[in-house]
Amino acid sequence: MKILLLACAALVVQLFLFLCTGSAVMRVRGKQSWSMSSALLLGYFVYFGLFEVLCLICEFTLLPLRTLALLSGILAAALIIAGIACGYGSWKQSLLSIPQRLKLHGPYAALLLAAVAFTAIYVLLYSDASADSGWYVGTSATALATNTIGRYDPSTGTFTAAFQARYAMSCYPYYNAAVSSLFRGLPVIVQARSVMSVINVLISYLSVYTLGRVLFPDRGSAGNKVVSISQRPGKETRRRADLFVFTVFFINVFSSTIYMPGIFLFDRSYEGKSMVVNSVIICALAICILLWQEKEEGAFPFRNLFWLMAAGICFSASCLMALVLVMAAVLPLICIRGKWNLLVPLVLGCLPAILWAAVYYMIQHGTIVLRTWR
Amino acid sequence: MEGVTVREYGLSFVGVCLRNYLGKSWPFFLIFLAGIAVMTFLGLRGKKKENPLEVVTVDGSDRDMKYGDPDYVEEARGDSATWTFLSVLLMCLVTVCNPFLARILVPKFGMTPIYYRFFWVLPVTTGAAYYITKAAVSIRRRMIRILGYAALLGVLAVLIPLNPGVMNLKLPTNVYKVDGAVPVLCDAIHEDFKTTRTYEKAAAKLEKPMDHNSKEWLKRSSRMYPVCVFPYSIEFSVRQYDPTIRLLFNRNLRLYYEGNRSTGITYGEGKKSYQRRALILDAMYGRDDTITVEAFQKEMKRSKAKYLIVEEAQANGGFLVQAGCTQVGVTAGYTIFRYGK
Repeated sequence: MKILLLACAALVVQLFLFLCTGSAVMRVRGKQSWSMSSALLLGYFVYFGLFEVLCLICEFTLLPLRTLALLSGILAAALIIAGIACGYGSWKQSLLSIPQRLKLHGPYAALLLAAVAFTAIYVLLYSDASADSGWYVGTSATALATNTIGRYDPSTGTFTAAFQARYAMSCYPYYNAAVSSLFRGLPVIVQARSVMSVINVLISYLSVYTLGRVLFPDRGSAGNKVVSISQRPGKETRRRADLFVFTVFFINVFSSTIYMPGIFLFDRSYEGKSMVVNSVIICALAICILLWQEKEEGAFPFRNLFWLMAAGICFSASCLMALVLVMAAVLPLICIRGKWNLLVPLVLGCLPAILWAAVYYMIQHGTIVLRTWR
Repeated sequence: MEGVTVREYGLSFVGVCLRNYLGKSWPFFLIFLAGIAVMTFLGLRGKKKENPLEVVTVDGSDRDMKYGDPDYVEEARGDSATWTFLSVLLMCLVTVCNPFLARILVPKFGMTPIYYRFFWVLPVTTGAAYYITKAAVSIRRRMIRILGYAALLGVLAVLIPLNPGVMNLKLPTNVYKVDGAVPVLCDAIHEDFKTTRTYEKAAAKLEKPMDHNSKEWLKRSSRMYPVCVFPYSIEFSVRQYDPTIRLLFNRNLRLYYEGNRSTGITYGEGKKSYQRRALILDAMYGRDDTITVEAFQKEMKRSKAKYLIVEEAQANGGFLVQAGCTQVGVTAGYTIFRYGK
């Protein structure tokens, strides 16, 4: 019972932390009001981007896990305070407009909620005894039990003399260890396989919904012209996005191989890879489509891309696939439309992944040797 | 991808990987490609767009607008999503999905087992969902729209098998979502291990003051925990639940022993560390009659394995006891053997 209560508390606190982080970033960007869902999604990526930096510093300076937990706790507390101060007014406005927004969604909201509820309950019930589960959850459990970061082989528990580039630089498992360390009594296996799985499912669907809003933007009913201001309530975009989310859910349920995103969403949501394929790549695609639509001018999409990439490398080395996607989608746009001014922001937006790839290459080829001992 | 290598398949490697990646879900890929083809065709044939700056306001009057005006919606140049999908598809065909490049680069970067992840770049799931949704919402009559959408999903549901995970859902028996035997076995092992000489020696060595970041301390502290061999069905759950249990087999070794080749790593005759570990498992289950007591004892000493856990019905108990193992207990259908004192 105590574990269940702690798990519920951890779920609420972490969601609130991401909401606060997103709200603080929105205010820093000069926005006065924003939706809670967009703040939650942005906050999730920003927090994991910040955590990656914090964790890499602690890991390579051989600091114990408890120090990382303490530092991440301080960071989380600061973000929560800043988020409450920045977002209170906007949240109030957002909460008061829920009935109105539900009317805009209409019956399609039921499809959206059914998809999210089914997946969340499924990941809560699903138990996985696979080798990958042993590795990733084992990494978190080993870090917590030994009070170290990445210095023991998670599958055996034996000491490893050097950090493995492929795993050491993706700090998502240490996030789970740090959270368990802060929530004394919450087993890391519950945090990783139940609490974070549910959060990851929510974020994945939020990403798909965001992509749906980008794919089906607000437009007047007769073509692209805005005929009257009264026709801009956003009813169509919301309903189409809801239907799009349900269709993605359907495809994931009928993804028949272990390689497709569906299996990662349903059975491997405890893994960082699941977040790369079901959230980072989806959001990266949304940014690319926005650029093709030429709706977002300036640095805004690239700032989001930066945090997306920073969080992506925290989740998994497979974040490089998001980098490939962005390059494959945006470079032709730059060439065809002659938008050479996008080149520098694009590189800056992808900087975390590019830097990660460079360091990874150097470690793999022995240019840098990262010892786990002193 | 298990069993698919560049050496074996050459230029058809990418095609075989894509086929394995999609499996029976190929209709989604077909919808994705068909959607791109149709929308590109319509986009290229579409009439010239009207001036986007001519906007009719609520009162009916025209007014000129500029980019950034709240009422301004820019004319789309065809379907932006389709252009994005097409761009990604073509770029992938030229680069990461190019069979000629893949044949050279994939083995060079050791990406053969994880090559399938490049197909994540192709937005097949979201692309197919986009075209299905777009087709559904383009139908004006509500009832026909609902029936058409439901019929399409129904046909796809009949054609394509369910996600293998959804089909194999097993409800958990505890909050940790591990086999119920795991917590019981771990507790029994720890209880027994604390009474052994191995534990006493390890604890004594840790009493000396030492830098906690030194190699020696890190090694010594791990020796406070017993090295065990578990049955395959629960092996990967053990360290998730209790990381203070050490395992003799690492992930890749155990998968290889059980016949799983998805890691792409081969442990042949030359890999002594694998041969030693395999000998212990063979002896535990009585899979190899040629293994002698001396050979078993030698490998147990060398590998420092302390506990062997075997399914009660499958244990090669007589041999293990003869070789110096003590039966610690029978718990949750498993027999625990301890080697040495």
